[in-house]
Parts: sequence; structure tokens; C-alpha cells
Amino acid sequence: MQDIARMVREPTIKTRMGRRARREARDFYLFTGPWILGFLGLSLFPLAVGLLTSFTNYNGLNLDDIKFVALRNYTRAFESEDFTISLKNTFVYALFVVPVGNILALILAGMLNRALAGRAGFRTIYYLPSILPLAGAIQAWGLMFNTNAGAVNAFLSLFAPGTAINWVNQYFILMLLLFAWWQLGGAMVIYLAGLQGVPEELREAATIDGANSTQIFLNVTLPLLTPVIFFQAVLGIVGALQILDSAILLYGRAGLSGTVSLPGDLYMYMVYVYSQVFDFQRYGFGVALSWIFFIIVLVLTMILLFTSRYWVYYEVAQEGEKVK
Amino acid sequence: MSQAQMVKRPAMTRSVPVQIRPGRLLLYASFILLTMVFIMPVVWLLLTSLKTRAEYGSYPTMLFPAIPQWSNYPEAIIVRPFFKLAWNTLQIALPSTILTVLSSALAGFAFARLNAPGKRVLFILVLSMLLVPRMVTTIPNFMLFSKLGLTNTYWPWILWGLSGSSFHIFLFRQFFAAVPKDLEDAAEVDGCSRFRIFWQIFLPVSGPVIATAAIFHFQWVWGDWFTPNILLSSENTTLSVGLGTLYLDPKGMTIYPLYMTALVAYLLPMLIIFLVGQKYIVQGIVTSGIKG
Repeated sequence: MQDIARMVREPTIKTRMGRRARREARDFYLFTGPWILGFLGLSLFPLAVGLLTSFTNYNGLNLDDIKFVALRNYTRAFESEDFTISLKNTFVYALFVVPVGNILALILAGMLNRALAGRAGFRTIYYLPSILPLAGAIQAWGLMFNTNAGAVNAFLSLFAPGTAINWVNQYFILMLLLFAWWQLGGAMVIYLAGLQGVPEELREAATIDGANSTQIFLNVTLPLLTPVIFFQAVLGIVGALQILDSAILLYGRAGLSGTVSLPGDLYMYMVYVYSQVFDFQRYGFGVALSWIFFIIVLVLTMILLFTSRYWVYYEVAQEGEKVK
Repeated sequence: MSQAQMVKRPAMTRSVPVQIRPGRLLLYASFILLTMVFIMPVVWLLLTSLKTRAEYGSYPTMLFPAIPQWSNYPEAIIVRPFFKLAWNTLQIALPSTILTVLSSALAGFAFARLNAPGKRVLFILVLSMLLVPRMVTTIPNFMLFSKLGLTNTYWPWILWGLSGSSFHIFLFRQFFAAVPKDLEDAAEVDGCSRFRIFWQIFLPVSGPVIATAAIFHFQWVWGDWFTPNILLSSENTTLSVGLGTLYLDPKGMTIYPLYMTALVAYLLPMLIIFLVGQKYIVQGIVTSGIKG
């Protein structure tokens, strides 16, 4: 991760290219060619098309008499109640799911990072839920919390006979949070790898200096893990804010066409966008919604990037720092 | 247990007389409790898949089926068109995985090993694509695919596959950057082309990363509901979208035990791939350093 930080910060030094270097450059562009073409055709061009569409009343069919509506789609978004509610729901979800999930994953990784009989087995079991294909995993989750056929109510009925809580309807966001935490094994494995990268000498040296295990964790292990935590935090937040499939599938769909059946006050932001575009064919409005979201994500990431220099620890002093 | 050996620290190889300390006991107790929590949904799914329809609907909830209905499995998988959807899914997931891994490996190799003007800007673009929400590009892509007549075909997955994925490019770049330079130098002196260096020297040593990327991507496509749902009609669609529609009784109500049986069959291939490949995933994560 450090070399990436350096590479991004330091401009490459310009020199005159010999024939060898030119051949290398040609090979570079041949090798990255498929990605570059894909980037242009499937990312950059669609982004531009999308941005243009967001200023029109396009509904999928009216290409012939399409109208330019300036910023009306954007102002309409801010006036919409569903917009506010779905944005709030999504932020509540992300605010809990990312920090709590990462702390739990780190604790679990710490517990597994010692010599124990059978720990490979435990690791496999905790990792397993996160690799289950999403569309099936969320159905299994829904079944667990099913009012009549679910294991959770059956278990609670042992203590309070007749428990029949409709979990999904009453505690929808909580169910999504628990589902995400059930799948924290992915982060756990990455933290485990990070913990194993902490040199044993450092911990031994700290022990000789009289540090206890809490001090070692806070002052040796944690600083060395901050690059991993940073990476996980950025990708985790961007991922959590985009929650879509699990929200729609947990609640169930109306009809077979994949129409959203969620009540509006349970919308996650992407569910709202999805239903506007694919249920109501409001393409212009939907793309505008997605661009508002994009800008929010960019601002959040910028904040994280900016604060990272105060809390993310890199072993090597960053030479790039002053050049910038 | 090769994984256990891989991660075992030297200090632990010293043999000490086994002592059962309360701390250790507590640790094991929490491990076992957590195990139950983590596997409960899967166990419950298995139990439910063996119930009759009456048992599924009965109240109070039955923990175990009176007689395990093994016949649910042939009924759900063979009698109903499960395999048709599975074949559709495979037709999408397999090419998509192969192309994504190849294309990402090529680009990752270039970013790790070759110099060219513009490389820095391109790499920043690769990383920043990780931050672009899927919906921002998917809606206009859907509009374009409709105009080009590519909806209800598998071409979009081929195109996406050819262009690789930022995450996997990053993964490969991290791995290839750590391979020693000597090998490549020797090959270059011998006049090997760069593609041959990539194909015959770099790819053969990158087994764990290839496995990691392939498993992650295959799992993603297999579990993706959103993309096939917007692009494909019901006869061409994947398991993730169509599975819920296969198990209806004549009145149009879902026969839940059969549906749950089908879910087991839907999850099983991924489970097997994971159990076979997890050694490589863990290695891939360690050596490619997604960790840092």
C-alpha cells in the first residue's frame, strides 16, 4: 500500500525515450488496452451519457421529442420525501454497518491469531457466510427470521411460548445490519493476514520494555494495521451505501418482474433509484439521483483521504509528501 | 493441515506441557458459540429443505422434519427446470470469470512491471473506478445496451469481462510487483517477448491470486441479482433471478420446502468451490497484500 501512495503522489520523471523504452511503452498500452477500451466504452462514455440524460425528461421511449429540463430533475430530488427518507435510512445503515462490522472483524481476527487447535476450522466457518452467493444467502437469512417457519422465533418460543415476531417487517434495517455482520468473514480474513504481517520482533521488543498486551495492541499492532483499516473503511463505506439486492430480496418482490415491493419509508437509496428507473421508467430523474449519490460518495471519500494522513501510519516516511 | 502450518509462528513450535487455563477455555467456548451463530442459517435452510409443506407451515415451528423428505431434492432439481437456469448462469459466469481474470492479470502485470508515459494517470483512474457507484454507469449502460440490441443476450457480460475489473487489476498489480526481477531479466536477455514473459513466467507463479480473483468473481456473478434482472428475460435469466418462480403450485403459491431445497442446490457449488479453493484465497490475500 505504501508503494501505491508513493506512486500516486510522485510524478514520473520525464526522460527522452530510447527505442527500448518506446517498445516497453507500446507493450504497456497493449497489455492495458482491453481495460482502457472498456474504461472508455463502458465507464467514461456511459458516465457522459448519463450526465446528459440527467438534464432531460428521458423515459426510455421519447428519444424523438426529448426535452432539456436543466436542473429540474435535481431540484425535484431534493423536494422528494422518498429521497430524504432513503438517504437517511442508507446513512443510518452505513454508519452502523462499517464501524461495528470492522471492529468485530478485527476482534475475531485477533482471537484467531494465536496458536489454537482447530483454528483453521473456525476460520473457515466464520469466513463461509461471506462467500455464499448474495441472492441465496439473503433468502436463507430471511428464512431464519421468518415469522412462522424461522429458527429465531422457534428459539425464542422456548422461553416465551407463542413468540411470532415479524422481524423483516418490524426491524427491517436491523435485519440488514445483522445480515452484513453475518458476512464479516471477508474483512476478518484480510485483518488476519494483516496481523500475521506484524513482525514478531516488534512485539517482543515491546514486551521486553515492559508493555502489557493492551499497550502492545494499541501502540504496536494497531498503527501497523491502519493502512488495512483505511482500505477496508473506504471500500466498506462505498459498498454499504450502495446496498440494493439484499434490501429488495429480503423484503420480497411484488410479482415476478423484480418490481420493488418495499414501502417507501424502508427504501435504501439505491432501491429508490432502482424503482424510479426500472419500475417507473424515469430515466432522467433516476440518473440525476445516481449522480447526487456519486457526489456524496466522492465528498465522503475525499474527507477520508484527507484525514488519512493524520491516522494512517506508513512504515516508510513518504518522500512524496513535500514534492506535492 | 497445511494452512495451520503456514500461519504457525516459530515460537509456538516449542512443545509445552498442555495446561487448561480458564482463559483458553473461555476462548474455546466463545469460538463454539460463534460457530453455532455463523452456521445456523445454513443448518436451518438444510432442515427446512427436508420438511413437508404442512410441516413448513405448522405452528408451533417444528425444528426437525418428522421424516426427512429427501424426495424434495429430485423434485426441485430434476422435475422442475432447475438445470436450465443453472446452465444459463454458468454460460454467463464462466466466460465472464475467465475473461475478467485474464484481462485484469494483463493490466495488473503492465502496471507492476512496465513503464510508459501516462501510467500514473491510468493507475489513478483504475483506483478511482473503485469509488464509482455501480448504478451511475449501469443505468446508461442499460440504455446503450437496449439501443444496440444487446439486452437479453450474454454479450454485456463478455464486454464487462474483457475490460477487467479495477479490484482484480489492483490485486494482480500488488502480487506481480513483489515478484523478483531476476527471472524476467534473464528471459529478456534471451529475447523473450513480453507476452511470453507474462504467460510463461508470471502466470505460472500466480496460482493463488488467479484462484482468489476467479473465485471472488465467479461468486459475485453467481450471486448477482440486479444485473440479470434488468438485462435478461425470464427464459434466459439466471438462478439468482428465476429460482423463486420455479416452485409454484397450480394456485400460484410458492411451495417453500421445494424452494429452500433449490436454494441449497444453488449455494452448494459455491460452497464446494470455496472449500476446495480457500487455501489459495488465504494465500492470495496474504501475498498480494490487499492488506497493505
